[in-house]
Amino acid sequence: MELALSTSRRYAYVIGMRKSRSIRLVLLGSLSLVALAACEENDPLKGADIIRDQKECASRADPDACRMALADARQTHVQTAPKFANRQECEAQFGANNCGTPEQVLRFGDEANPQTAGASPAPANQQQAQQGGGSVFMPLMMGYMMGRMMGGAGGPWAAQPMYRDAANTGYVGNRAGTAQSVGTLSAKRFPDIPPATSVARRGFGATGTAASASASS
Amino acid sequence: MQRIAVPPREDWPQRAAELGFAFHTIDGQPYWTETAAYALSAAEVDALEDAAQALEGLCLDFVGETIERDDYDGFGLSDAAITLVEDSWNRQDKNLYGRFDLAFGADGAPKLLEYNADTPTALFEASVVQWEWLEHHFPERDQFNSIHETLVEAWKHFGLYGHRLHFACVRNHAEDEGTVDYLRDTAMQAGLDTERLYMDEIGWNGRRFVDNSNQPITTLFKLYPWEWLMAEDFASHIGPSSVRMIEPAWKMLLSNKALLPRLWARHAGHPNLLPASFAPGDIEGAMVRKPLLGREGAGVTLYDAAGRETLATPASAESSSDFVYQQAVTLPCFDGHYPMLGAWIVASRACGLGIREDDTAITRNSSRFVPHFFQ
Repeated sequence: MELALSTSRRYAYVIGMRKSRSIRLVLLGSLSLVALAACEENDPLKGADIIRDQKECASRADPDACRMALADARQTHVQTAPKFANRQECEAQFGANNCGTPEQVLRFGDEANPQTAGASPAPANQQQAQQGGGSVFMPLMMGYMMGRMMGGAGGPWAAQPMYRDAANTGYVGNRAGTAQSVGTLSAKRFPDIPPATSVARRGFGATGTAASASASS
Repeated sequence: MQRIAVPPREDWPQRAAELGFAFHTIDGQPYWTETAAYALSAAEVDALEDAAQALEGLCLDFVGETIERDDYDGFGLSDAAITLVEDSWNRQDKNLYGRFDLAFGADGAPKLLEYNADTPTALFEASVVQWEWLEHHFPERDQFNSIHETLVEAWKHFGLYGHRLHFACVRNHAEDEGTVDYLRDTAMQAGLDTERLYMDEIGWNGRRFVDNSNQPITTLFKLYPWEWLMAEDFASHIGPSSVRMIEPAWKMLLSNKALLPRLWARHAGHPNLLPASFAPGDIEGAMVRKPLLGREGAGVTLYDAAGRETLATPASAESSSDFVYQQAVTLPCFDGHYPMLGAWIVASRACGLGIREDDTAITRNSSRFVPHFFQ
């Protein structure tokens, strides 16, 4: 089942309820962020194996570690996965049926929606997404590699999302930075790097700092 | 609408924390309240949804016509603010969200008390926390709340793929930080590239606003009122920077309570509007005086039909000294609790309800959030 807007009453009669069907948080709550070490010397993924689902993780690590690793992989996935204007371009890089819209690709690891390697999104939804004006396509996260940060036992768990390769025979990773060079949309990122000369700060925020009132209501 | 007692879950603070709800208790007082719930009928929810959708339509029409007629009477906007309002509207800068505060009138129709169009909060608790509560207690029942999926969907239509979206709020304010983190969460789920910073960290390099890495800020979600931005040092850079703001500058025409008399003047007798004026003598019966700009119920005064002050909240340093007057609605009172109905709008679509209640007839920052369901 896919997410559907249930705001319109006409539609609500069809699906029955006007409340959210499912809610997932990727940033807040127990799925919180684990910062990744930036430099290769401290590569947290050294010696890591690909975890293809949460059951596989449970056989190797404790539940907290699996939760942290999944959250971390998802976070990196959301932030850095290459994005494409259409499914074809994405599949050319990550294999047939291995791409989807952001909602589809984020479902990896949801207990209600176990996303296994090679699973393809529902055809009806594909069609809907391709017709939708605002849609983008990203590779589906097919698993992740996990390891302890800074190589230390007892350190926090970190993970990187893994995707299928173009031939659908193996896995490819997405090191921060590298994925941004692929994808027709994300290649345009930050075209305008400003000179690092004098930057003034603290020009906003004074009212809020001095306020006895709230900035919000 | 009824207020029913519900046994609170013993581990509710822990559950709230697991959801990332950092402000369930404010200044030692519980803000999230699950010892009770409001039970509404489907007809009441329909009326609230219709009212919110109708009001959003009136508001958008109002902005367009006000700009077209160059008639900013009563708003107290500077020329610089008007320029930003007009530019953002003509550029069709998109709006993300807002909350109409409503109460049922004597005729049974929901009435607009005010529109929190610029910096509304109580969002996460309406969208996520009360939903999680419902799924625990009454999974078979319904709630007027598809805020979460509507937000995720809305972000996809901002034209932000390939750009970074920055989120900013004030420091040391758990509620505002929680709201911004939640909105950022929904943007990430739409596949957007996001970054978070504090308002005072925003930099100006002479050409663009920049973040802490000196990367340009091209689109900024700011949980910070427009009238505060306009009073600060960087105000004059907003136009030249070509930054897109969420909420856009044209929301200055909706978050200002001058909206209330201006809407009434255009649509006198509309079932979802209350009589309102810039002059107290125009209002019959009991009335409320509200500052043009002010939040969390600051500076609000209630008068009875004889013009006697019956209740007042202290003004804050930031609430304005210009006022509007609105006919009072008698808020229902359930065992000393006065509920206010917050109807959520996302991308101009009515999609949810959050109820806050107070011990007085003025809803303030000490009011409590109480979940709802309908059947």
